[in-house]
Amino acid sequence: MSQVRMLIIEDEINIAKTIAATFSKTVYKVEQCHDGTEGLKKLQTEEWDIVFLDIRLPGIDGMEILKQISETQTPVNVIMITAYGSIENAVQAMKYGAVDFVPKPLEPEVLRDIVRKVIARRLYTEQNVAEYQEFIELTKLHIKSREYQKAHVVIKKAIAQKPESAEAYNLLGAINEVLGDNIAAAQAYQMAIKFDAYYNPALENLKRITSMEANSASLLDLMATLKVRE
Amino acid sequence: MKPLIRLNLREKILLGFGMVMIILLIIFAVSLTSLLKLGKASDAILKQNYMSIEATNQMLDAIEQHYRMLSDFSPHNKPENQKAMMDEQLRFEHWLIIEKGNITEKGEAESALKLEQSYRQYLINIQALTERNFTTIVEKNTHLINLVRPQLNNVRYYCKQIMQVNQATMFKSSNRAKLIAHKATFTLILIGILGIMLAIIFSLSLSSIIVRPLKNMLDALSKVANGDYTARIEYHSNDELGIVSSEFNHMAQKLSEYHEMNIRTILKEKQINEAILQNMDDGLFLLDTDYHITNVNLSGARFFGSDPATCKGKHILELIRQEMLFEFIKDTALQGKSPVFTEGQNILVNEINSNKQYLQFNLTPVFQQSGVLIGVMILFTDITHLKKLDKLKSEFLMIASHELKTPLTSMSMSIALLKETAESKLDDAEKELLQIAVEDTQRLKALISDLLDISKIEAGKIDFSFENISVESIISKTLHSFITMAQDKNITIESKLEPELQVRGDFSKLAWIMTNLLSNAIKFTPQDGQIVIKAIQTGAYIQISVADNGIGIPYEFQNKIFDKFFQVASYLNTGGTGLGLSICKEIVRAHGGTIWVESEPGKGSTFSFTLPIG
Repeated sequence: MSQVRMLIIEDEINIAKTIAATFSKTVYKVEQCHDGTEGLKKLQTEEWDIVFLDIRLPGIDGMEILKQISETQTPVNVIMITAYGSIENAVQAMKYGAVDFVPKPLEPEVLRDIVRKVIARRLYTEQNVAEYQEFIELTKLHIKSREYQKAHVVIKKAIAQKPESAEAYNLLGAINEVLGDNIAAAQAYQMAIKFDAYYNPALENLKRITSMEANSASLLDLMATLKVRE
Repeated sequence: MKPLIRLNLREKILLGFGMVMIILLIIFAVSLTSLLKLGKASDAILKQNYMSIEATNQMLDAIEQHYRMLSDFSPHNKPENQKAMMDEQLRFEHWLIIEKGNITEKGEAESALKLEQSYRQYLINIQALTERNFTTIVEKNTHLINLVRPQLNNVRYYCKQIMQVNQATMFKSSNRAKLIAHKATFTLILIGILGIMLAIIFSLSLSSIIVRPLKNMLDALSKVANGDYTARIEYHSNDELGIVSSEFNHMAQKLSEYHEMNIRTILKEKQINEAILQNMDDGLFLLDTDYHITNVNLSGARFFGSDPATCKGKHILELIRQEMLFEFIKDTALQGKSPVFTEGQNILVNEINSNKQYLQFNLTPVFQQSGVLIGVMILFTDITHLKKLDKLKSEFLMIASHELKTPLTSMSMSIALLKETAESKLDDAEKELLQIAVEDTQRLKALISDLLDISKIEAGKIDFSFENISVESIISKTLHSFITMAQDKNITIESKLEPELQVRGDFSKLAWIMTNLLSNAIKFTPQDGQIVIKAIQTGAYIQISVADNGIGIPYEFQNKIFDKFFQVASYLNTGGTGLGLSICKEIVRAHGGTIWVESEPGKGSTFSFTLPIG
């Protein structure tokens, strides 16, 4: 943690301050930007390890910044700060390599935990992971690097390790969606909900994917068959 | 033209029959008289003349016999001959007496007298003859012929005279009778023909007198019955038929006026109804049993981008391309009653002029008085503004909660960080203050979250996906998360479920309810307590209950606990938001079930809810 260079791009000053306060004593440096343009500039001019990015920003939108970050292929890890409990376009964010989300209201321990995970994850490879949680993290690492096929492989391993994990299935669904297989994605989300009836991310994803017009016919057919539980 | 004689119908009829009667009487009289006359005539023929003729015949016969015997017999003094001759004499005299007593004709009396004289002379001459003696028969007979025969001839002559006279009379009578009969026949025929003609005339005119006006009346009546109130009877007479006619005409007049008035009233009502229908905001459709539009008001047609004239006659699907609605319409027609809708089912989303319109519809079957179904009525109410309001409300809640979350975030962060770093720097009192801040920011977070949830459910924004779920799966899923918590308090959780129970519901929402109830049960049950989960089938529903033997709920609060933000005073610090049970209630309601509690303070509480069978 002591090596971490952290940038906070958050327009709510108080929130930015409290995030900073959470890490100020433990990281190498932490800075705050209160709008997107400023944030982008800082990203381009300095080097960062972790970026806390609010999805909703005045000026340049958070998603737009994410897109720009992903295009520059920097090693910076973006943690998205979301509202409403679950991001509507989490999958969209995943396409830009964002894989960590933390919902408001924030808690210090949660923030620290996620940062720790992000840091530890950087060292994971196929060879040195064996535990479920490690698989999850490795998956996320691959997603971050936009290596979705690899992510696909690893998440399956995670599922093999813990067959009833809603989190894993949800992640699988998201990866499928990014890869363009909406039907498989919907199936995976359904599985996630099956194992955890109110796992919000999966619920939201499923709702979103079934309401997308591009998917209507075939997806609705699928949903119809899936709706009959045993 | 005023009639000269005022007769009522009865009198007319009587008159008619009277005439016929008179004719009959005349005929009768004539016949009777003729018959009587005839009778008299023949009477006359029969009796007297016949008697006279008979008498003269007998006399003739007697005297012929007598003379023959006289000329034949010799000696004519033999006793038996004498007797025979005396018999004939007696016979002649007997019949002479009768004839004398039967004088009827003119000249008959003289003839009878002359006859008698001749007879006497005959006898005298015979007497004279018997006193002489004859030597030969020839001599006798010559004298007989010369003396007696002329008297005989006289007698014959006068007999014949009498006979002739009587015969003549008989003949005359007979002729007269014939003539009378002839005349009578002729008269009768004449009178008969006359009578029949008169009778026919009278009957025809009588029936005409009565039937014609009746027929007129019938015509007029049937016209009126068929709605033509202008019909009148033209019959002006002072008898009963005339009275009926004029009364009828009055009645027709009154009916006509009444009808006019009625029509005006009905028209007015119709205009009012029409005005109401066309001016009301709701859309009204009336369909026939083939689902074609027979009536539609202005609003109704406008809703779907048309106008009443164009809509009429079209099949409902032509105008409103919504299968769901059509299914409901068909159902209404087949079942003969309005369908029962679950929440949101009777709302139609109508895209018109690239605007979304929310129309709530009501279906009612329409019956004739006889009970026959004649169609279905659809009432559309535009609830777009309500939906907008709903949307605004949810949007407001969304925005509000987001806005609330922002300061909450920084606040809870700060307090949490402070708790981490500043604890050592504070005294006990200050630590407690900090703790209060920590706890209440937690509460705020939970509150905002629940508030969002409940507003979503109320606004129907939370999607329920209903499917058939096994009760066992819900319970086992939720129990799983509470094992540790229960173990901490050494509470035993037991589940008694009837086998293979299935419900129709949304898995995640139902799991939410179970979680909520279980968490409450554990919270309000002390150490070493027991919680029992039961599921049974009652009729068309499955009833699930969570029973604990905890502190229970005071009676006065038992029906309030499902209210929003209600928390029993003594339990305020148990960390709840007061929304959990009301969210449960909303979810149960969305499933079509009910939720309730049975509790005894100090003994425990049992929360139960019902769900439809799956």
